[in-house]
Amino acid sequence: MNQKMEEERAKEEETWSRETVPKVMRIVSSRLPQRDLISLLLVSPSLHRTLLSYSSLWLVIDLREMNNAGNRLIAALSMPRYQNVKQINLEFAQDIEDRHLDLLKTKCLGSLQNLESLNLNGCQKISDKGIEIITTACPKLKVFSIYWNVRVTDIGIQHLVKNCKYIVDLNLSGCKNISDKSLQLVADNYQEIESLNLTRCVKLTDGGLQKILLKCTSLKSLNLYALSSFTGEAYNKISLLSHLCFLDLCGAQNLSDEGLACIAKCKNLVSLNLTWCVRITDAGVIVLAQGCTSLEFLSLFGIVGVTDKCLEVLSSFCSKTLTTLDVNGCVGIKKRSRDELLQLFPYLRCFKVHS
Amino acid sequence: MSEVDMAVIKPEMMKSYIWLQTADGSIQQVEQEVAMFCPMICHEVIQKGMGSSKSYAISVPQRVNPASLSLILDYCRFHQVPGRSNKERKSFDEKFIRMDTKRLCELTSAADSLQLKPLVDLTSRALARIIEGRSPEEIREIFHLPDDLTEEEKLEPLKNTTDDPRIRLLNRLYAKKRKELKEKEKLKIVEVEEDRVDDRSVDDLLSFINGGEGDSKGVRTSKNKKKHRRKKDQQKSASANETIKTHKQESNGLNSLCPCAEAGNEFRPDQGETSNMQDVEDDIFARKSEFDDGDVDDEIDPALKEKIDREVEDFARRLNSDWPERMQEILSLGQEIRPLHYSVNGNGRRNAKNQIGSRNDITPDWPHGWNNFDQMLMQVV
Repeated sequence: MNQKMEEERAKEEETWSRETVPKVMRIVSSRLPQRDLISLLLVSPSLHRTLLSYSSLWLVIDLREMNNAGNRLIAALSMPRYQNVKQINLEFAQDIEDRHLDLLKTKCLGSLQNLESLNLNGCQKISDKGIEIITTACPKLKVFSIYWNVRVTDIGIQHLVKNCKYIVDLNLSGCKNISDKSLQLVADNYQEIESLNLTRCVKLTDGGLQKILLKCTSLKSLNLYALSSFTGEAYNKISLLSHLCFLDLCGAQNLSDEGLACIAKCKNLVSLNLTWCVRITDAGVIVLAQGCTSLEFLSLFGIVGVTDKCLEVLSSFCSKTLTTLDVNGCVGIKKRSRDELLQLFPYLRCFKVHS
Repeated sequence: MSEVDMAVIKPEMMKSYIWLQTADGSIQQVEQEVAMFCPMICHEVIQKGMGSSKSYAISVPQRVNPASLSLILDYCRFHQVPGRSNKERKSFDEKFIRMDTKRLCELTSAADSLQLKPLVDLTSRALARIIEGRSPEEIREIFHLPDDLTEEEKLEPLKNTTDDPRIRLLNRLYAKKRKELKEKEKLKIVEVEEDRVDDRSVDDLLSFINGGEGDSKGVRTSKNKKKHRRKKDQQKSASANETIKTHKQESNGLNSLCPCAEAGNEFRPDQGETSNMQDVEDDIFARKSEFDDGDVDDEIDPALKEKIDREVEDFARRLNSDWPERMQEILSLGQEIRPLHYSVNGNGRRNAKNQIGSRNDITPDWPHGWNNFDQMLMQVV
């Protein structure tokens, strides 16, 4: 009797560890962040084998904020399980330099072929050379992000457009040494681009922006945060971007009501940041309200020339959709307490965007 | 009473039932609207016309045990009622998943078999929360998983993509050990005490490295044993040097080298000393073939020999320690080692935490060479 019980128990244990657990782990592991996924791998060899067989788990390498990232990346890409990796995230990783990218290219070229998304945000040691290396290794790149890197210049962008033909999302926020030349390159090569972030690229002028606005008509998201040297010459052409949903013009001190009226022609606009656009008055906002009836996010922070009038008009057109409205510092608006705003915009959840 | 009688007496109780059969053979009937909430059962009813009577009971998938089925039906019974608010449903769900991990896993598996996605989502989210932030060892405990490495698998060579000489050394030691294991099997030698194996290997290692000193037989005196045990006790202190020096005087053949991997689970929170092992190990390996012949002294310049001696004492001491600690040390040796240094994330707070031995301690049990990258990744947590 005892033996039979033992046999049964052994069988149960077997079922548990050989069938139930792998099945359950497969289901659960798709929800786990990388760190916990790796913990699971280390639990036992059979679980290790099981998890490795699910290739969809191994499409992302996340080395955000890690030190010794260059070597870790090389080690990771040498592993068969990452040979189809689609996304690599090195945001704020330390110890990653051009030479690591070079080593990667020599040793792991196969694994890089399918890479679609590369995040080098904050990897300040990477230079144009590194960009040359990695873009030649990853021809299928669609998403490229390298914010806050002052070593990147137009030369780096030249390599990018030459090697990666399918970029749809480009983030150059804080790359202060980018000039109009880069915008020309982007405009000429990426007419399908959907998202472009040029925050704080202070060397850019109307000439460069115009090129983008004329050619990159698929743009859905355009970020021009903290770029104060553009004028109506460029702003007026934003109307060409008929698919535009997201526009950030924080600090656009030269934006006039006329410019805003042109922006109002982008019917699909959902999010608009006009923080510190100090020349805007009621007239501009009224035209905006009439044009962009799907607006969900609007900041008028710091604009003293707008009054309660524009809020009333805004309410009559956008009250059903607006969920974020920042009118802090708008001293021309008298009725802007939380309750008063909720009266006009019943779906408001967020009252502060800019700090 | 027959069913027909019941219908006459209580007409309002006459509703449709679906017949289900579980793997253990038992058959039950379930209210139709409840059972049909499960896509798999729904499919069987609609597409195949099953479930309308006892003899045509729908066979529930094998891994759905009666307990899980019962829970699933409870879930369905609640959620299939249309009038409930989101708040009610959420509240029910929260109470529903309060069960031990084993049952939660069985439930997940069963719900998956029955294709009941909302329940799969609910249970797998709960399991993900349980797993989050835990070490592999904790996960093993929670899920009652055996650590099923065979002796051979423990000795699998590590991947050495950056040609780290320490890993080279380890792999060679593994190779030797594997060979020894095979020979053992052939000769069917009775299993040696773990202690003895460890002792011998330290001696072997030292003599292998120094080569040709003293007698070349694998003689193990009790004197050695005693010293070695003393050495083990002193392991945690820095003064292992003395005892190891005495070992150097003896030598044996070139039998087993690799200390047995299996050992207790002592955790050593300290990171290990940094030392520049590269030169030393290069020297060691450069002379390997000569060691095999057992005649080396002429080749080694005395000053270098001194240096090697000192470094080797340190290395041997570490090699002799438990496998997990050893692996950890080797892979986490300090910054000046060029190829791979896996020190803990620069976040000061985490550093301190790791040294004290928190839940995310990097010293948990990773005995296995087959996942050195993963161990490297674990270190940052």
